[in-house]
Amino acid sequence: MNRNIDDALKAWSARHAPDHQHLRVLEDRIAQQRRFAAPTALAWSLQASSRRPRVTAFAAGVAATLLAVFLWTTCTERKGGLGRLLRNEAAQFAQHRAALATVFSETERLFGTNLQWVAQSGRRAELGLVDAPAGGDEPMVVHLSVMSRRTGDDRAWRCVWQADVVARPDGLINLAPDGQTGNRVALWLHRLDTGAAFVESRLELRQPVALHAETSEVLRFGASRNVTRMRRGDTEYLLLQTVAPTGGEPCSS
Amino acid sequence: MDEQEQSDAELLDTIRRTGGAAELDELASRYTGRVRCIVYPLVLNDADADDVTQEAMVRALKGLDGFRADASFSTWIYRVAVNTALNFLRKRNRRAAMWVADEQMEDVADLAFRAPTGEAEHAEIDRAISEAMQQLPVAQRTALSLVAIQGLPEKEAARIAGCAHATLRWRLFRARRRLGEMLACAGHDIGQVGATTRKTGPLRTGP
Repeated sequence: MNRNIDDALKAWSARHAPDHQHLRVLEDRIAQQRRFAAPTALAWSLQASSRRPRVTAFAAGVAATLLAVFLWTTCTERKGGLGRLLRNEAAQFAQHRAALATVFSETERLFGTNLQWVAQSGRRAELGLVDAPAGGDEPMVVHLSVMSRRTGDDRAWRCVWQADVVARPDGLINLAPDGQTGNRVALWLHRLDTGAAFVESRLELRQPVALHAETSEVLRFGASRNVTRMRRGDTEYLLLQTVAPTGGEPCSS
Repeated sequence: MDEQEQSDAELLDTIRRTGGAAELDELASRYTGRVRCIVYPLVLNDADADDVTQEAMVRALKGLDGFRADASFSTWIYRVAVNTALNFLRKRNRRAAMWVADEQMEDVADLAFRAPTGEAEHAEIDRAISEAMQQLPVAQRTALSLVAIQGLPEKEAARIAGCAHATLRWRLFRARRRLGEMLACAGHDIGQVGATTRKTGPLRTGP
C-alpha cells in the first residue's frame, strides 16, 4: 500500500515538476535577486563605436562601480502598500543616484560626448554611442522596476525585473538588456524646467515575465511613480519609474 | 551521494575563500529544481511554488555563513526551503486558499462523469491527488514530500522538518493512510496492485 501511494505521489510530483525552460526562468529570477556580490560579467554592446579596444581595460573599473550600484538594486521583498513601496524605491534611488552618475562620468571620460547612455540590467551593462557628438546636456538617471504579487492576498510586492539607465536627454535609447532573453526596452527623456522630466518608455519583456507596456509620463525628479498597473491571471504587476538628473538638483523624495 | 556532498563542500569552500560567483551559480542550478519539487507539495500551486523557491534559494545563498557543516548542505538548504514554505503558508490569505480549493473541487466533481482513458486517466488521478493533498495538514504534506516523493531517509527528513524521528514517522503513517482513503473515496484505489484507477459511483458498476 505504502509503495503504491509513494509511486502515485512520485508520478504526481513529476507531472508538476518544472520543465527545462521553466527552470531556467526560475534560475534567472533567483540570480537577479541574489546579486550575491558576485563579480560582474559585463557584456558591452556598442551601438556605434570603433573604440572597442579600450573598453576591456576600462571594464574592470566600471564593473567595480556597477557592483556597488547592484547592491542597492537588490531585488528584495518590499513589505507594505504601494505608498511605502514607492517611498522605499525613491529612498534607494536617492541613495545611489550618485553611483550611477559616476558610472556615466567615468565612461564619458573614455568616449567623450559620443557617449549617449549607459544602462545596466541584471549582470549586463550596455553603452550607447553616437557618431555625432551629443549635446552637453546634463544626463539623467532613470530606474525602472517591474514588481509583482499574487492577487487575493496580502503578500509583499516582489521585484521581478529592473534596469538602470543614465542618459543624455532627448535621444532615443534602445536597449536589449539581459543578454539573449529577447527583452527590449526603448526610452526617451526630455527635461522640463519644472523639476521634472517627460519620460516615454516601451518595455517588451519576455523573461522573467512576459510583459508589454508603453508609457508617457511626467515624473518629478526623485519621486518614484507607478506608471502602469497590469494584471494577468492571479498576478498583478507594477511598472515603477524614478528619474533625476545626475547631480545638482536635490531629489524630492 | 558522498561524491555529491563532497562536490557541494568544494563549492562552498571556494565560495567562502573567493566569493566565487560561478560556484554560487552552480549551487543555485543544482538545487533550484530540487527545492521546487520539495515545496510544490506544500504550497500546491505552481506560481506559489516558484515564488517560495525563489525566496528560499536567495535566502539560502545569501545566508551561506549560517550553514554549519554538522549536516549536509542539502539537508540545510531543504530545511530553509521547508521553513520558507511554512512561513509563506502562514501568511497566505485564507480566502484566496479557499477560492482555489473550491475551484479544484469542482474540477474533481466533473471528473465523475467522464470515463477515464489514457491521458485523461492520468489527469484524473493527478487532480484527485492534488485535491487529497489539499485536505492534509501541511506537516503531513511535508513528510510526504520529503520521504515518499523525494525518497529522503526518515531521519534526515525529520531534521529538515524540525521534528523528532518518531513524530515524522507518525505523520507519514497518517498521511499515507488518509491519502489512500481519500483517493479510494474519489474512486482511485491506490491500494490495489499498481496505481490503477477503479471508478465507482452511480453511473458505473463496481468491480
